[in-house]
Amino acid sequence: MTAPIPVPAPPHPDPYRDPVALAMVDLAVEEGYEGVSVEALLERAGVTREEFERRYADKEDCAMRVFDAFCIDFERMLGIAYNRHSNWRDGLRAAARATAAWMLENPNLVRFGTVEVLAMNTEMARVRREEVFVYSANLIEGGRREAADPSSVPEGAGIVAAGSIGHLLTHRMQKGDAIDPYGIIPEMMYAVVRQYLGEEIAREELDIPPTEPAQGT
Amino acid sequence: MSKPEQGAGSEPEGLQRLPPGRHGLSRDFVAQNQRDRLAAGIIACVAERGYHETTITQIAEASGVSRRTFYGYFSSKEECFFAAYQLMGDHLAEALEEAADGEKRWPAKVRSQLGALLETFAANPNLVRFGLMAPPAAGGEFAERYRALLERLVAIVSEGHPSTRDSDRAEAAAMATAGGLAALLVSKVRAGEGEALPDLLPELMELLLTPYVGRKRAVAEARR
Repeated sequence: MTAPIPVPAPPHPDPYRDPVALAMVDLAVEEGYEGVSVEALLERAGVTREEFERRYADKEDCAMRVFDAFCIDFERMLGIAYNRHSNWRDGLRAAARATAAWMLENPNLVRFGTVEVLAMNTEMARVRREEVFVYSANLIEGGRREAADPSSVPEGAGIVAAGSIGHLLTHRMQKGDAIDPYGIIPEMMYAVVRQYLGEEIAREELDIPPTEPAQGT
Repeated sequence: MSKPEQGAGSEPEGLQRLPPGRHGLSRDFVAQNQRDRLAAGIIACVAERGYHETTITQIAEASGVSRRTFYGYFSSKEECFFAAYQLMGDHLAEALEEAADGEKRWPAKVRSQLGALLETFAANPNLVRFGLMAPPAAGGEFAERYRALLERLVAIVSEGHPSTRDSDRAEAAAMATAGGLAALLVSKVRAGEGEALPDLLPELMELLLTPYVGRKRAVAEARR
């Protein structure tokens, strides 16, 4: 039985209801982060400069806090989906499906968080990305508890798995290739499960449909 | 490529500054010496500060050359970075090719090559910071060069792998695994454990061999 993963508290304000947050994401994807101006943000969000300056010091402050809010939301989504299951494989698969749904519903957000935010060039953005990476790696590492011989699983297996998935997705996104986030789930699950539970169990993942069953996860 | 320096601002190890004034050295020798120093200089600066925070003045100072000399070779910081990145890639590829010499069994070849890679990085963790940490964080063309480097190194290590019924899947898995292995090396260097990278050899062998030979055999080979 797998242990639940800590889930962060919801971000405040809710970025999906914040017109400035949504405007920052959309404009960064349309123009590139460097091309976003505060004036354009105000116009797109429909807020005054006074309202903007009441909450944000400048464009970079706004982008960083928007990015942070969406990182929290992403971690919550992963953790909540994962914790619904007492079995690690089912939890991991649920988290993968939740991620796939989220990616399809929020393509601009995905691009903002993986590509455009790189242009911010700040240590805070790098650290925040690293934290999301570590959260994902810890979730994957839950498999060690269910391994027949936990000590035989390579020490860095969780980091390597999270790094592999991140590399695959970022590579395709930066190239502008289409991604089928549901389509890659069986292969991803196979590669990850193989490290913790062995080849035979991992092969089962290749036959499990990537989308959620009609009655729920 | 000459051995890069350990820290920005210090004299690059093995790269002596040219004597001032007339020295009778050939123009080609001078040019190569200065290019090597610039490569070492930008590696040290980017490793310490990151690409965007590094300036041409800092690169020139770390390289022991003037800004004027810098601009004699490169028109921009970016051009200097890509030249140094190519040199580093060539250096790593050469190390892998040499390590494979004489190895007949593929797993033994992988062991020698991964071992050489880890020893190279352990001797100078700045290569991890410059080559594996900075480019993905910079995005754009930098991230593209990073991916090309990983593909190049994976191709060299994978060469001679046993054919499997899932060869396409194995190759795709090996490429994705390379990204994951890079993440592991980065995490170790960030934690100040760069000198201990060679200790990762069995683990890296297991992860890289598994897509081709299966986990059971990969574990056995890694523990030989």
